[in-house]
Formats: sequence, C-alpha cells, structure tokens
Amino acid sequence: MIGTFFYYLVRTSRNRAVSALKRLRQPKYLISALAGLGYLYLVFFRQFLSHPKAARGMPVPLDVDVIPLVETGLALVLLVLVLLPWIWPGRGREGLRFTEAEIQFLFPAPILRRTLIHFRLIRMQLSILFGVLISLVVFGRGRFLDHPIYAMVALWLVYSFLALYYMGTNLTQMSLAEHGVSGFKRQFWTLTLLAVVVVSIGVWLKWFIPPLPATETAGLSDFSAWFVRTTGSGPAYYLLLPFQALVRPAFSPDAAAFLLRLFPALGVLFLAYLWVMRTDVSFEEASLEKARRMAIRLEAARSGNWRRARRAAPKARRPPFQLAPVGFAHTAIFWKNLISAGRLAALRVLPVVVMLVIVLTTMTLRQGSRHELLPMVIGSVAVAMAGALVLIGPIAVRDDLRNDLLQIDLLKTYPISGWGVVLGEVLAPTAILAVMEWLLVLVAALVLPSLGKIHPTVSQRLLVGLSAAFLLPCFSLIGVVLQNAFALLWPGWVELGKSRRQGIEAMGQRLITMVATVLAFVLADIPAGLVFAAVFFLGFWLLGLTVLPIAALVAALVLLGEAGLAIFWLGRLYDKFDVSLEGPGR
Amino acid sequence: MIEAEGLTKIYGSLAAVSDLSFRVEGGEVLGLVGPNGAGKTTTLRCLVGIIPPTRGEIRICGHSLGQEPLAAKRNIAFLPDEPRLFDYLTVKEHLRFTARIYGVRDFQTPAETLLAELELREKADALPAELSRGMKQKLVIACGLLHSPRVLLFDEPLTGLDPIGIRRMKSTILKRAREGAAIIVSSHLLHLVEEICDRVLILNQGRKIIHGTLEEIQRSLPDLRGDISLEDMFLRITGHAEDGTEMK
Repeated sequence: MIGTFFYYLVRTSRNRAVSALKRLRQPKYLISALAGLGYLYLVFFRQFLSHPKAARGMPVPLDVDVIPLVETGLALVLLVLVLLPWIWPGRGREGLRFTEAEIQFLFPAPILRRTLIHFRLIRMQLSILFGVLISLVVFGRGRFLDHPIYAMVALWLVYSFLALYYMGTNLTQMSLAEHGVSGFKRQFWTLTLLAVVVVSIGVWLKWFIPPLPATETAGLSDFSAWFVRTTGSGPAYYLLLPFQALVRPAFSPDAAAFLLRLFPALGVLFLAYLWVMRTDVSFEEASLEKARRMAIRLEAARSGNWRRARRAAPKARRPPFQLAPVGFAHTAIFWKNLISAGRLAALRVLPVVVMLVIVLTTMTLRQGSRHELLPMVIGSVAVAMAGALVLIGPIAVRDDLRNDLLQIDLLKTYPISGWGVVLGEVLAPTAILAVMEWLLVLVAALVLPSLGKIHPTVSQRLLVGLSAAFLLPCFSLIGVVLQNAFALLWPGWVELGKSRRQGIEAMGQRLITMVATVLAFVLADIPAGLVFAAVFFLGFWLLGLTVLPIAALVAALVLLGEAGLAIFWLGRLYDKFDVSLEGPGR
Repeated sequence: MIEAEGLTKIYGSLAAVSDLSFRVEGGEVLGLVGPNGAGKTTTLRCLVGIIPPTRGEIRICGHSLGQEPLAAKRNIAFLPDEPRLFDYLTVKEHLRFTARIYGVRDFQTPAETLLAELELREKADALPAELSRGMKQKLVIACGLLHSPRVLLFDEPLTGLDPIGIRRMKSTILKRAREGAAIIVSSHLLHLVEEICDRVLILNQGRKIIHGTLEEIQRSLPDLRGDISLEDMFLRITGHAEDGTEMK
C-alpha cells in the first residue's frame, strides 16, 4: 500500500512540475520565471556560484559559547509552538486534510485507518522536505554551520516532529469534542502530561526566574548567562530537554557527535509517532468537512475568486453608510468595496485610537525630557508608516479593479460608463489609505515636536501637518490608479484578487510590476513636484512658511487632475476591454 | 426589442459566431439551442455587452449597444448559468447595490416581493457563502428582475434548481413574457425550450442553422413525420441519428 501512495505522490509532483514547465511556453510566464530566477540568483545563490570557496571553504561557524544559547533558544521556541494549539485550538489543523478525490478513492477502499494516517504522513513529507530546503537557503545559506547536512537532518526532525505533534493534537482535540467526558478518559495520559507541563511552567515562572542583570552595567554576555541559567533551572531544564534533543544534531562538531545526538532526537520523533498512532479517533467525518471546505476554496480559486479561496467562511459586515437607491452609480461600487475591504471595524474604532494616542502623548510630553524616548518612537513610527503607506498602501489595499476584474462579467452588464466604474473602484482603497494617513499625520504632528532641540510652534506644526494631509492621500490615489491601470492593461500579469500566487514566475511577475509601479509613480509625481517647488519658492518670500500648505494644495490639485485624466482614459480602456481576449483566466 | 444584425465574434482564427441576425419582439420567448461550442454563450455575452462583437450591430429597445451602451443596458437583465455574486454583500445588500446601479428609486417594495416570491426572506442577511447554489441562483434572479427589465437573457436557467425552483423559474419567464418582455433562453434542455419558447434559433459552429416556430421548423424537415419533438428535430438538423451518433 505504501508503494501505491508513493506512486500517487511521485506522479502528482511530476505532473505538477510538468504543468508549471508547460506554462513557460507563454512569454509572460517565461519572462516572469527568468526574473524570478534572476532574483533568486542575486539574493541567494550568487555567493555560492561566484565565490564557492568563500561560501563553502570558509564558513563562519557559530562560536562554541553561543551554541548552547542558540540550542536553548530554539528549544524554547519549540515549546511555545507545542503549547500553541492548546492555547489557540485550530492551529495545525492541516494534519488530517484530505482532498475530495483522496476521500472518494481512499475512504471506501479496504484500507486501515492507520494506513490512511501513514498516507498523510508520507504526503506531508513533500512539504517538509521543501520547507527544509527553503529554510536552509533563506536562513542558513551554509555560512553559520560547519555541516549543512547536519542542519538539514535536524530541520527535518523538527519539522516532522511538529507535523506529527499537530496531527496528534488535532486528533486529541477532536476526540474531546466528539466524546465529551468520556473523551477525557480516552485521552487521560495526554491530558495528564499537558497538565504537568502547564503546572511546571507555572512553578518555573513563579520560583525559578532569577532577577535580570542591572541594565546600566550589564553587557550582552551577562544577559546570555542569565538566559542560560533561567532556562536550565527547575522544571524548565526537563521541559526543554526533548526539544533540545531535536535541535542539537544541527550543531554537532563531527560525524560521531552527530550520530550520538541523532538517536535521542529520533526517539522524540518516534514517541510523537506512537502518540498519533495510538490516538484512536474516527477522523473521517472531520476530514470530509475539511475536504468540502477545501474543495470550495479550490473551486473558488480555479474560477478566479481568490478572496473566497483564502477565506472559506466570510462574515457579514455592517455597511459603512446607508446607500441611497438613487444617485451616482459609482458610489455604489465605492460602498461595496468598502464593505469588502473588511477594515470597517478598524475605521470605526479610529476615533477611539486617536483619543488614546492624544492622551498618551500628552501624558508623556508632560513627563519631562527623561521620557522623550516614547514620543520619539511613536512619532518616528507614524512618519515611517505614513511614508510606507504611500508606497505600499496602493499595492496592499486591493479592493478595486484588481478584485472586481474577477467579476467583470457582472460589471460589464451594468449601465455605468467606464470612467464611472473606474472611479468607483479606486475610491475605496484611496479613502481607506487617506484615513490611515491622516491619523498618522495627526500622531506625528502631536508627538514629533518634542524631538531634540527643534521646538516648532503650534502653527508650524499645523502647517506641516496640513500639507502632508493634502498631499499623502493624493499620492495614494495616484498609486491606486496606477495599480488599476496595470490590472486593466495587463490583467494576465497582475495578481487579481487577494491571493499570493506561488512559484518562480509569480515572484518574477511581482518584481516586474513593482519596478514598473515605482517608475510610473515617479513620473506621475514629477509635474506635481515641480508645481510645488515653484509655488513654495515664489510664495516663501511673501508669506513665509504659510505658503507650505498652499503649495501642497496646488500640488495636490495637480495630482488630482492627473488622476482624473487617468481615470477618464482608463474608463475608455474599460469600455473597450474585451473579456474574452484579456479576461482573467486566459 | 432585441435586434442582432450580422453579429460576428472572432477569436483569433476561430469564428465563435458568424453573421448572426435575428429579432425578438416584446412578449416573445426565443430559445437559443445548439450543441456544445455552437456559440450560444458568446452570443448572449455579446447581446448584454460583456464582450464586444467583432462585427455587427445589436439594438436593445431601440438603443444601439455599441453607440448607447448605458441606455441599452438599463433595459437588460442577464441571468447566467453560474451565479456571480459579491462575497461580502448580504442578500439584502445585493438588492440595494443593484437598485443604486440601475437607479431604482422605490426598490424596497419590489425587493421585499422578490425575496418573498423566491423564498429568500429568511436569508436576507446571509452572505453568498451561506447560500446553497439554488439560493444563489434565486438571488441573481431577484437582482436581475429588480429594475423591471424589458429584455431578459437566461443562460441555462434551470441549472442547480430543485423541482419547485424549476417550476417557479418557468412561470417567472412566462410571466415576464406576458408582461411584454423580450426573452432569450439558452439551454440544452430541449423540453424546456419546447415548453416555454415561441420561437427557436438553432446554432451550430457559430452559424444560424434554423430560426422559427416549432411548426415552421418541422415544415422545413419534410422527411420527419408525425409527432416530432424538438429533440428529434435538433438531432436531425445537427446531423445526428436518433441514438445521438453522428451521421455521415
């Protein structure tokens, strides 16, 4: 039977790879794949290929003194990961997921339940091995470890353990839910062990945490020593022991030590395996439900409805405002996209957040110079976030044509002009970004003046804040319009919906789109920048800093004009948009 | 009400629809039938403005779809075989949204009536994910009928409906026709077409094979005698034997 499973998995993987390769016959996928490969080469592999000696011959291994620290730290992370599904049930529920086809073929077949579990375990190995490879490339790159092979084995042990553990937890929780009180009896030993772990953690936290070294005099080594002492004291030593056993092979100095450390790690893995196999739960029904939900997601994904593919069970949300039955039709699209954005809850709590920030900053500002760190951090973060929002916001908030092109069949039947559709589509992301930017500007204007020797007056703060409030949403509008332009011009290239497509060609597509976005954004902002500079420098002699918001307002109007022209042009493109030739899915 | 003149749609080298001309008057139900790939859906998608025709003219209630698309579209309701809904709008919100798009001032009363008629009242606050396929189909119908369209185009209208839903759908189509709407029904279910359509247009490989009432079509096939069903006629016209095998 295991051979049959291997056949299925090998053929599935092979055919999937062949399909991906066949896609490369389309130029857009080929170019994207080349771009993706180029990126991978530049970021990860260049050092291996260009300087093989530097990469392989001269590793920079971890200091011997640091290794116990790293081992303990990783063990602690594993302990947290192990506790997570009990704190937050539902984590790691992938363990028992079968596809509908697998259920149709395997569940009625004369196969033991444990064989089905074995099948899942084997299938999970594909993603585990891929995960090991990616982890090694991304995090290690072979520079910090003497023996990358040992690290690979250790990573495999850790990932396999976690996969088994999550499956076991899932089965146990299912048994508890299914059998009620008798479920507690069935899972007595598991629950007892869990209780012991929880009590041990409580005891450890209460009585075995030594005081932190004095912050004024202590160095990094003192903190390291404190960490090792803390995690090695009391019950923590025993709690972390199995997890340390799992990670220790990665840091073996030689083959003998590696083999010696491998056995305890395999022992831990085997215990997890035994636990899963002994958890007698009829998981078929739950798997059926999972498969059904998965099938809905897959179906949604295949039909292009990626948002639904990501979230199988969306929740109804309160509309942002009452939509009157008569009025501009594009307001309806704006209304719909605001609902779809799902950030309404956040928008509703904005006034509360603003009040909290104001109170907090006022309080900290009154504390005197000793506590300038907090306002500085809050203000700097607000400025950085506002800047980042202008650049990343239009890419991230996608409740516009990038989503609705998936519903183009429906949109096209509406009696709305093309520019009306495009305007309605770009309004929601722009409004969302504008509100977020205004909040950040407000926070920055309140907090940053306390920085260093610069103490601007209230009016100066107001002028700078007002200017930013004029300009930032217009920049965002330009960004959103650009994103929608890409979606209309090259729907096959742009990621429609909220998905993150996988694969090298998808990575390449994202890179190309990003470069094009930055270029177009800079070009679109040049006229506004010139106008701003002209108004500011001319007006500064007459009005002083007061001219700043005026210059910003004029520049904002230029940006709005550009956006308007672009929307009108995109509307004409939309009217001519031939779904049959360029629609998603083609 | 619906006029197509020389309608042609070409994909690359493939002519999905070739030089198709027909008219559907108010109160008339036209059945659009043909084998798979005959061009039925492409025709419907051209008629509602989803895809532009390569050549030809389409007029809806006197408005050219190419020249006055908004005026033409205000009169149309397209009910596709696969219900397309917005994931995050509830049933009620779908109706409100559609009302705004089509400018239906007093939509509350007709919306309530439609919800009641289609047994969706209890699901008024449900999202599409919470609806069965049949219910989704009903919601699409409710949205389609809300603005009292004068032209209705149905693509496989019975897909996913239960027997009661099927009966309701048929009576809805006939009721709208009686009220003066021009209707096109595209379907593979020939007994449905036979039952509710006044005229039939048979397409094959994008071309009009025959267009007329059942009697007219039967008269054009003199070798078929007796009580002949549309299915028999269809098989004969598309070059198939009684058992469905292709005739040489």
